Amino acid sequence: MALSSCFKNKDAATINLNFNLEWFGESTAIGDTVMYQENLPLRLEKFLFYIDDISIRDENGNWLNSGSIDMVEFMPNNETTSAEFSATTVRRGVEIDAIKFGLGVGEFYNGLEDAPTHFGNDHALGSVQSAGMYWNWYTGYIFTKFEGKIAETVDGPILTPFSFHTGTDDLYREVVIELENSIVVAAEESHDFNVVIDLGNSIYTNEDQIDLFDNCVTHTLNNPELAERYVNLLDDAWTIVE
Amino acid sequence: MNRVNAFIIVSLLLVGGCECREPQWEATPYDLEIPTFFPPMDIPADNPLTVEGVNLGRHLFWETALSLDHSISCGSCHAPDANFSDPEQYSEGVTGLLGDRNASAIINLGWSTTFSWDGASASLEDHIRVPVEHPKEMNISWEEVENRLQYDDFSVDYPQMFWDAFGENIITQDLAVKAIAQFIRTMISSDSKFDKYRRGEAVLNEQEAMGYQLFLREGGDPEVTPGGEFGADCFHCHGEAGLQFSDYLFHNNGLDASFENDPGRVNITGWALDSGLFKTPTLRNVALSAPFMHDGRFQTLEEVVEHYNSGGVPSSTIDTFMKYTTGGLQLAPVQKEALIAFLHTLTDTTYINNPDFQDPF
Repeated sequence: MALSSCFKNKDAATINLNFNLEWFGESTAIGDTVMYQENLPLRLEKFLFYIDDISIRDENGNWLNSGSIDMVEFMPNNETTSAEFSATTVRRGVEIDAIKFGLGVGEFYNGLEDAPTHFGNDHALGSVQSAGMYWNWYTGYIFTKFEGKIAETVDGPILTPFSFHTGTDDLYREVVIELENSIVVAAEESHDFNVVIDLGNSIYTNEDQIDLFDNCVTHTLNNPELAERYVNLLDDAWTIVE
Repeated sequence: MNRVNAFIIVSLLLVGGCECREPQWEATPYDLEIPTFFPPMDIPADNPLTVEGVNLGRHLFWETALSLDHSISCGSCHAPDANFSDPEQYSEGVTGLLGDRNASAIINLGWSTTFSWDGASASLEDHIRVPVEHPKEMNISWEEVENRLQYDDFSVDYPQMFWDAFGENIITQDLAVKAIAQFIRTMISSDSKFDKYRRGEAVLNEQEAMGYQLFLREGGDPEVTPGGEFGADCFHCHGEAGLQFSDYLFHNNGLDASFENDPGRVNITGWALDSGLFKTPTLRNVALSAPFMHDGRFQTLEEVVEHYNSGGVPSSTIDTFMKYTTGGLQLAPVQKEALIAFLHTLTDTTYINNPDFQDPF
């Protein structure tokens, strides 16, 4: 999907973000069973998120914003990539040293009354595209969803559900990924970045560890502490493979 | 031939040519009123609503010539009194065979993004094609339907109606399907007590308001279920957003432990995660839509509420929203009654009695 920008000229180039799903460093897909804690089977069932205002930082430290918003959903059996779209259109020759995007829906749109009715059905925020991602009496848009089930024993059935649904303006996060080496988008018309989201790191790092048996459900307002812990981990779970 | 005669002949040919031209066709755009708070309706660019198309669609919806033995029409299994669904668990087709699933309600389908219980059809038009040829339903080829509508005697002039609707003399499956889809898109309900409440024209009584709050709250005892709010937990799938009370997605709501009888959505996607998943039905006019669930296993709203209250049956694909399979929602009787009272506020009798949707024959 090509998004509009101010740089529609013959020197324009396009940035694409390809998202890859991982579980503690290993490629995985929705529907896969991975290992949790002491080798307890965990099945990944759903991961989707709103991606807001994808931006790039140029060599002068200026952020070039796309102003875009879209929903990215990993579908079953897509092992590594489920989303690919143009992030922004930039001047050919611009040197990029960081990428930034919002996880969620910005305050303005999230605060609209009956927000989905303000958008066409083909818009990411419209009623059709946001099905299951908007609770108008509750938190507005759901920014991210991560769901799955765990077995309680190594050989047990995978039945114990967990679901993290985050929303509210307070939990809107900006993911900033610094590039190890800046990229000059020069000779080509587009450049692809492979962005990895490690769902293992969204629940367990050295900084914080979420026990999915004790903390299995948050829809944000009903368990804001858990939602914030999860979102903070998720914020740091993105990397770029260069 | 002199020049004058030649001029006259040419002039006559021109006049004759005018007389032989196809009559001009122009259908009347249908003014579809989108109710307050409703999102826009997606209408296919190749099937805009017209007065003539909707009228034709209504006649075809009720036309028994669309079944092999002229015994049933679409309306036979989508009866107005039952919210344009079938009050029987399974519908009986022309051969006497019963269908495999309950015939769902036709209400506000113009906003639905998925069709049939397993999402087999990608569009309303595609969905309409299915029952005509289905051996357990109308069991007739579309080719035969086309022939009947084109050549048989009816109380209405179908060839003329197709011409009026589409400017086509030849009746085809595609045009018939388009007309029925146009008619169904006009079948809009927006005058329930809840709609009036949303518009500030009515007030929910104490019991209904209590039920509404239960509808909107997380289920479970927070001491047992993290995040529980002692609610009924309906809103996840039957979301109010868009005012259709359905996310139009597919869920396993804990009806069965295994799915040999009807695997549901997995038959369409092939994804194991979709085993036992079925479309979330709208709750509009739910009090008129019995029986409930894809297989019509529940006859009353009380049974439905009790199913969720008990927590349902665990399985490998049960939805994470059904997280109370041990212990259930534990709603008190007064809460269950309140929830059902709220569901009754979604009843819109003006919809089922709308004369524009009734049998025109």
